[in-house]
Amino acid sequence: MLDILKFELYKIVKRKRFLFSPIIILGTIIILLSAALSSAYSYDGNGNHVFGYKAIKYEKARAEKISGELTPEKVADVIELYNIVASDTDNLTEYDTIKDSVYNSELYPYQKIIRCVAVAYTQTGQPDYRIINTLTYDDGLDFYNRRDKQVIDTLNMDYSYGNYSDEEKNVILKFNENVSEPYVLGYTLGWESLIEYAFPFFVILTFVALINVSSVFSNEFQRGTAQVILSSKHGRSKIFTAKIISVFLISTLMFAVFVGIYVLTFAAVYGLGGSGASIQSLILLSVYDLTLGEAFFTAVIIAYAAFIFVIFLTLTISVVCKSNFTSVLLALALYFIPIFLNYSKSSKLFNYIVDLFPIKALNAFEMFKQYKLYGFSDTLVRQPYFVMALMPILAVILTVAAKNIYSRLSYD
Amino acid sequence: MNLFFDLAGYEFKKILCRKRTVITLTLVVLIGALSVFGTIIGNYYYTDENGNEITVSRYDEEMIDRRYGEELSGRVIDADLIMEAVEAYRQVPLNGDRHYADTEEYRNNARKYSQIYHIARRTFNLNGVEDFQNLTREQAEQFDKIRRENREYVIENSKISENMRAYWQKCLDGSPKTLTYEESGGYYRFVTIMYTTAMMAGAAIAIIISGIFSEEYTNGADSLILSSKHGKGLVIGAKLFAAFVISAVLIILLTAINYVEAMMIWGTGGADAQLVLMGNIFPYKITIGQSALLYSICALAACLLFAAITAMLSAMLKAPFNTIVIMAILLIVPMFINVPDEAPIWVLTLNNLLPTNMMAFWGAMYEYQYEIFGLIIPPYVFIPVFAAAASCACVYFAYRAFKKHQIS
Repeated sequence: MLDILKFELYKIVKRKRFLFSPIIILGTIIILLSAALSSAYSYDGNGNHVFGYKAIKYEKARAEKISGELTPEKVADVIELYNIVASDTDNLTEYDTIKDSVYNSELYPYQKIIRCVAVAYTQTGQPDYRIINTLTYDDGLDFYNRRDKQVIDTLNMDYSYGNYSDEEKNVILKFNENVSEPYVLGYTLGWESLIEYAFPFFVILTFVALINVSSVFSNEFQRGTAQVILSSKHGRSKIFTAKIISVFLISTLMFAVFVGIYVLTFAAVYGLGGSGASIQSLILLSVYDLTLGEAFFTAVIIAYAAFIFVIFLTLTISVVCKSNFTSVLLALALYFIPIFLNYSKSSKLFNYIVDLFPIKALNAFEMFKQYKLYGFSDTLVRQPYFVMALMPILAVILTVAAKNIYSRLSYD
Repeated sequence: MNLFFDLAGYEFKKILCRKRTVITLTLVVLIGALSVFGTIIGNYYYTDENGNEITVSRYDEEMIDRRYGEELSGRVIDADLIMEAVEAYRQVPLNGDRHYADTEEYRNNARKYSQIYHIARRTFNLNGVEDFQNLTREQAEQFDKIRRENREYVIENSKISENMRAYWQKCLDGSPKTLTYEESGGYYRFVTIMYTTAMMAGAAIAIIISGIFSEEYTNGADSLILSSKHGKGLVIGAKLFAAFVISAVLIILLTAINYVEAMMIWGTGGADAQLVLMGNIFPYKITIGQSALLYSICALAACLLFAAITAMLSAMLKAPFNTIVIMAILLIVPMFINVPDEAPIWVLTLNNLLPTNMMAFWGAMYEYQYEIFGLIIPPYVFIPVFAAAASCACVYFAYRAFKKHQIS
């Protein structure tokens, strides 16, 4: 068995396409990092725009001003500061808005808190920064209650595709109660960039792995070696198991190595301080009690689950199709087409199903913004954890199905 | 010449009779034909004053908007029209439990002016309906002035060459001082849907053509072709001719279907309207109708470039598998990589030359032009020229690769 496994591993690794994989993935990481750096911006002490690597330095310095616990007093102080700046007519434009230069030098360091205030105090889903003009210091002290009210309002809103049920509302509110307060703020640009570019990175990593495994079975038919393999002394079962294990090992190794490189590359440029900041510092209305570091690694595990599902789906297709071309075409179509599916305006069920497609699941961090629950009334599971469990189960089911098909194959 | 067409005919038959081609073409034409209708299928929901959920068909809603748009067509967007819209919007209550667009006041009075509201919102940089309700006649009278000032601000503050700045200023100076509203829903839908259609056509072309040369290698027919009495050149020419004709016919057919359907549903109006009505884009001195035509040419050129790249890879690589993988990368990967607006202009304009980005209306009408030896070339001119040149290069490499192929 070990010999067959070694042979199967060797067969995958020696292919040209496997050797090209690191080039494509490392190239992707470089492109993503360049995109992240070219869109990084901040302001210096005089309110002037700074871009790229320089912006990271300023963002780190800026974060020091607000790092630590986001106490209601801190929120109230920022509201007071905002109103002091806005009440000076010299700071205003002819339209009575704060001049960009003044905003960037006086208020931009507190932008993260200002954004939280805009989200917590205005109409749900439509943050309006001008609301801060109407707030007082005492309003700021009520920050956490206002934020909780936004969560409740979001749950009670009318949605054309169907509203949250009472059970769902209760479960979500219970999770919301468990979110630790006060939230923790810190330098999060590194984590923000990692999260923002994780989706394209995972999509391309999965795509490359899919290409590598798409012909594991079909190639045997195309080259005619299936005739020998299917009647070999080792039996189909051993060969099938060896192929499955080798694919699992190779793809897991690929995932671990390249995700490691992705994280380390971004860490080297941005630094990953602020891993203890609350997820609410990025998504104020999130009901997950996670730090940014925990949220990112949870997202990586979900992406890995979706990645493995895609790999085993591709293997099943490879068993069914007898040509490499058809196999890769079908696998690519099943992998990519769901990304073009739009959410329905009338069916909640459809929307929930759409989110279970692996390419949607690869965008795992998005799940922390939503309140989706899967299951029945007495056992409702939150979307990230449901996807994390579902994908490996589906992968196992597919493997069993593939094994059945493989053991019944006959060679024409 | 007859021999060439005989060979081309044979190649057509070979490509079109494949099961894969038939399935792909059927699916693409079917989806292409249905995609326009897809946007009017389904319902909209809103809540009435009694809290009841009202269901209205999306088609009816679209037709109401079209009728309102046609009623405003031909009117100059000036202080009178803006204030007429403001008055209608002032009747809309904003403090109730319902979204403003659900209220009877909006649906019966203000909705007619929704396009004017959107144009004014962009121009005056308004935050929402409340700001629009507070707009004064004095501000409305500044509409054309502010429109120009906004553009001048962009011209002054963009990091572009002096040459390009002069071009932008020339375009601005040459654009009409006033803006006349024209209902152009048909053209808007056409250019929007065409992006997906062109992408689909690109994918179909890759599937159909990926085996044009490489399947000869895998089937072993290359040894016969390369030593045939017709000579390699004629066979290669016939193959490429068939590939390009099939690709061109496919994209032209899909464009025609989308155009006819969009015009049937949303009307043919707006062909002579100013391009700026399509959104806050660069004031090229072309009409909406002309822009749709130029964009269709760009999409056609992009699809032909896609065909040329596929043919080249098919000749260079030994299996259609490898070709389809690379074409999938070319088609899909750019969708996931957003080049930020802050990136240097050469990166932004280069990004627009990726075949998939050439297929987008915003790519053809992009506000950054191509500057070559001091000459400013608009993207809707540069893209087809570039695609043609790149296609010729690909054809040359395909020809060379197949001709020099050695049978092992």
